[in-house]
Amino acid sequence: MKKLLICLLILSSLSTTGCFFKQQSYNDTRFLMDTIITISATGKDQASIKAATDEAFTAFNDVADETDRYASHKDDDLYALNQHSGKGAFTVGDHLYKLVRMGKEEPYSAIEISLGPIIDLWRTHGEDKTVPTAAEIKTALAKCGRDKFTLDAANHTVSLAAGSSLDLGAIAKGYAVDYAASVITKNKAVTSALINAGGNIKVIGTKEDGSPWRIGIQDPRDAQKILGVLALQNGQAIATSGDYQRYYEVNGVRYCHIIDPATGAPARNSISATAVSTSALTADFFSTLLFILPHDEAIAVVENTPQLEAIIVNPQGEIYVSPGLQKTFTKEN
Amino acid sequence: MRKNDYLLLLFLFFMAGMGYLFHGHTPATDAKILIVQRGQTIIQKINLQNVKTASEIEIPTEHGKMIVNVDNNGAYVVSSPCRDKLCIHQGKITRPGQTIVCLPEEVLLTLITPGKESAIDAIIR
Repeated sequence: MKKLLICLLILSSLSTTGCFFKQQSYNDTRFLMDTIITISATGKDQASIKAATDEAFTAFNDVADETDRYASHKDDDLYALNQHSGKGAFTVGDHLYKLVRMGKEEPYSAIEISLGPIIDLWRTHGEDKTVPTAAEIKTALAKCGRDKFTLDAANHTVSLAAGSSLDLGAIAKGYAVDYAASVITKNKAVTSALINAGGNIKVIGTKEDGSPWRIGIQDPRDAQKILGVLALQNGQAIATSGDYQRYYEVNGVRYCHIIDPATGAPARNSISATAVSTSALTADFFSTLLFILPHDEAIAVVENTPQLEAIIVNPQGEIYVSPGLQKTFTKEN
Repeated sequence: MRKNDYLLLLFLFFMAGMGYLFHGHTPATDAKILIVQRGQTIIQKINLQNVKTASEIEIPTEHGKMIVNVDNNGAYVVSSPCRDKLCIHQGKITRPGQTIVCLPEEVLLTLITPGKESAIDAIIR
């Protein structure tokens, strides 16, 4: 009887301090890929969750280094590839090869990973708060296009035409979120996690109370408001592209960082596009695509793509919510 | 077991249940906490309920210092040495889950609530 009582006393003290029943949680935030990455994980013990989160950040960092076109990190990264343009085949890392292959093979011309020259042009003018001339845009666009790079699967190489350069801004973060998610889910101590990479989020598992994850979508014209709240289930990913995060203004006109390959100028068909899918890479890709496409074409893409849902805000402020999100999206009043 | 043993058992289970309810289901409050982070380091946590009058805090950064105005409802960036000033354009954050990000200076301001049951898990931007 004494032993039983001692056991019960221990049980009682553990539960009253909340250590026995309550899941442990761990949050970590770091600056990577020119954005803020937060991983929030829960699980059985703090040390294991921390270790899993660190591994996920290491994975994220691997992708970040390999796809960074502004700084050199290793011999087979995007910076090195762009430096090698016009000099023949160049051996690239695994992550980079997969992303370049996707950029070459995906069917939508509104997403173009070879826009390096035009992005650099707008970036330079953005720093001076000026707008490129039509001639400058034409010259830069001449160096862009899918014919400007080729892949060799057997040798794991990419060849870039002289003066061309790749930019993976439309897909690299989504890929990195998926990769980090795959790493963190391998650790059985982690029961749930939310990976938030700026405009890209993936949720893993269910919350402790069994309720869905609640993701607020920012109002593109009022940073203090949200458009509404979207309920996400285990494995879902969401990404948003908008003209309100990175932009500059000249004479009251806003120039955002997302370039329409058809014009070589910032896209203006939407002010915010949110895509929901089961893959962060897919969500990232489609959020950019839907942002660039004319409103009607964007809606047609959503309706014709399996497992893709979206919320798109056009320049007039009208909000399109795809049928699959009608029950899980709660508009903010 | 005697009658008192059963009573003791009952009491212990009651206490265990109360402990679970207390720690696992703490009701949400309106309290908001501002977390100030630079790089990977959290440099300040401010309970906004304790901010009686609006005040400005200085955050040392790589290129100078960022000035943040804090009151009992939220916070906004007054000035920053960054080039694009997007952190200033983001305006005031007042809702738990909202963030102000300054990438060039690696500063992150986040509003959270201590009780998260009814809160938004993240805001996508």
